[in-house]
Amino acid sequence: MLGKVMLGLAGTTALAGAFLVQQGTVRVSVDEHRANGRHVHLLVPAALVPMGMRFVPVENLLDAATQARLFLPTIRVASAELARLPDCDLVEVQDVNKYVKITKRGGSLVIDVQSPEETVHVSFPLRLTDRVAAQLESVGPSA
Amino acid sequence: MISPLEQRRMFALVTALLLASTAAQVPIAAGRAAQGTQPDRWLHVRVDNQEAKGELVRINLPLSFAEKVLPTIKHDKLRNGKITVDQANGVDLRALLEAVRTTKDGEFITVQGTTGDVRVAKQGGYLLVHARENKDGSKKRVEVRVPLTVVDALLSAGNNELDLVAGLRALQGDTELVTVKDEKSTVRIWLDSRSTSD
Repeated sequence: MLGKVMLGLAGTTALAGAFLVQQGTVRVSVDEHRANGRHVHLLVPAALVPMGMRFVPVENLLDAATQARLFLPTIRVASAELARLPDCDLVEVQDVNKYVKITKRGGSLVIDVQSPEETVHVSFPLRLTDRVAAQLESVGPSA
Repeated sequence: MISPLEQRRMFALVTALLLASTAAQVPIAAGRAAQGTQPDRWLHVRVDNQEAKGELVRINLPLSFAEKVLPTIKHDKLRNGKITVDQANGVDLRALLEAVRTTKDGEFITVQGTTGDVRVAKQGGYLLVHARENKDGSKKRVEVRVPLTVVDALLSAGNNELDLVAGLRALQGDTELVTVKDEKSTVRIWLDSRSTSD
């Protein structure tokens, strides 16, 4: 009996793991270079983001949807187009103090910013962008 | 000894695991397939500054991306991939392009001065602009090369409008569009089928 339970648990865990791997992860890290600066490091399975949005109060979601309404179609088309591209460097800008790089790597958009004040790294699966935009559209004023 | 019922459950579980692992590989395989074929043409912008800690800009954008995204932007004078052009400084840009399009090959403007030269011409299906500055030791040189098919496409929209998406679609082959050079920096805008600007 215990064996069956363990087998069930192992199977469920493996399935959940495979699903999370397939959906990718959202990574945000911010390191401020000043004394006592903030160091924020987040690694969230992308699959949890749309689920988490269901728990956001509707008025907050509506506010975000209203502000982003004009850009949502552009975001959806852009993310779909970027998703079908091969891995590539899209933008790289270097000046005396700052460095910004936006790349597409393995289905994710990766944004790196380095400046004397802080180092920022953001990466997220492009499919997530489309899903989040679709969710915002569904609660937006045009829906 | 495992009972037939348990065997079926094990089989179902293994099948589900295999399906899940296959599903997890699909995006990776799709990504590899996409990497293998690069049918897109890319618009590149490259700014290099010769100074030690100078500027560096690299932009690599597939034309198909711009073609799809432009029509979704509704901002100011840009709507549905078309931009409304008013008369700026008394110059009717649309009328000017129309005049260039219908005129025979030749030089339109040639200015040779002590501080620089400017030449605007229509030649071999291209609108060419060459400018060179010789002022205070400056060696700035500007070259713009616009295929006339692009001009045609831009004018295909209605009055007071330029169809940017049609213009992008009309950009064919590998071509150098803009080059700006001076003693400190180089700016290049060009098209090719590579995703990198190296």
